[in-house]
Amino acid sequence: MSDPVSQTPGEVTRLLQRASEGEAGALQQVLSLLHDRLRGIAHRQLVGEGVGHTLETDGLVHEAYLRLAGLERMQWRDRQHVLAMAARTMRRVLIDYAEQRRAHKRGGGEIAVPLDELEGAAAVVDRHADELHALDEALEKLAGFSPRLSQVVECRFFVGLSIEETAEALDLSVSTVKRDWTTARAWLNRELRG
Amino acid sequence: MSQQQPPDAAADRREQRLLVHALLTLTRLLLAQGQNRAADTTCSHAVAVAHRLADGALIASARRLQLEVHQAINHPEVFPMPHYIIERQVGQVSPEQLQAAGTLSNQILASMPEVTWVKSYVSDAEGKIYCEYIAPNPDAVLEHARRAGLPADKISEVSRQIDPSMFS
Repeated sequence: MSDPVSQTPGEVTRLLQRASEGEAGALQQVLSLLHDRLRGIAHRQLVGEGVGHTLETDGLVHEAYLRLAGLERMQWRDRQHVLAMAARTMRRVLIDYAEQRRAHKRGGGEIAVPLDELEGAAAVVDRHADELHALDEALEKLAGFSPRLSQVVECRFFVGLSIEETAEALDLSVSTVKRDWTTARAWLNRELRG
Repeated sequence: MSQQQPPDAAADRREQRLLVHALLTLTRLLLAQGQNRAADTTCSHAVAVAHRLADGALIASARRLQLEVHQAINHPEVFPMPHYIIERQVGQVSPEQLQAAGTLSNQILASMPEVTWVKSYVSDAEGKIYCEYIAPNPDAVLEHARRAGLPADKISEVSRQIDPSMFS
């Protein structure tokens, strides 16, 4: 499986520079390249399982495009910076969605008896919307003293990457991600138990 | 590329995709917290909505996660990180001293994310406190004790945790 990013090492840097200078479309191209990279990671992961090569994040990455493209004059450092921002944006998309559900619940829109599978599924998110909100707050706190731990959780929880995929996306060793994941998980469980 | 859809249908699909992603995130959170049965229920909803969307990528992701949940149910982890029981010989301590020690301990823990204080049992008769901690190794437990000015006379690693609900 070829990796579009490794084929064009200077291209991402050049595009990031142009994006930092405010050039419309440059960031979009970077995200497109990185999306291909994520797809490449997922493909290698999934090919052994006999399933398709598309990625869960497709829809979310599209959402991330729309939001990140709105960030003008952002000083993009490198590929990891963009990937971290993409994961963070995916987190925001999902947390905003959960917040909408929370508001809906507070407004008395709670459905007592789900009428179909969609309403039943939405009711599950409604019931746990407070926990997603608490997770978001805990991650903010975690990022305060360990941004890397927070990024690992974002990749695992919000993008759905495995340990190996997270290591590849963040350019960390698998053993580092395993250790970070265990630490972050124990810390989050402590925080969320309140 | 997908075919052009009417705006309402596209918005509905976007909303349903977000719903699946939220359910998958929630499943991972519940799984990480060891709430495997709740994770299973949540993931089943994600699978159902993904099928309703007929979205191959989402179906594959949801099924992959469902497999992980089932593995967690059938083979629960003993502990993702070692648990330790620490014996502290402290003598008689007043409620005020306990309050001060607990506050200081938490302040130290805030800068040691790898160490988690689960709970403690105080024995006035023995003048001891038995504390349960989660940490990567005994050195981390000792380092926390050193910084907090607490004794750590004996550190025992927990091999397995059992409770009455596991026995008929």
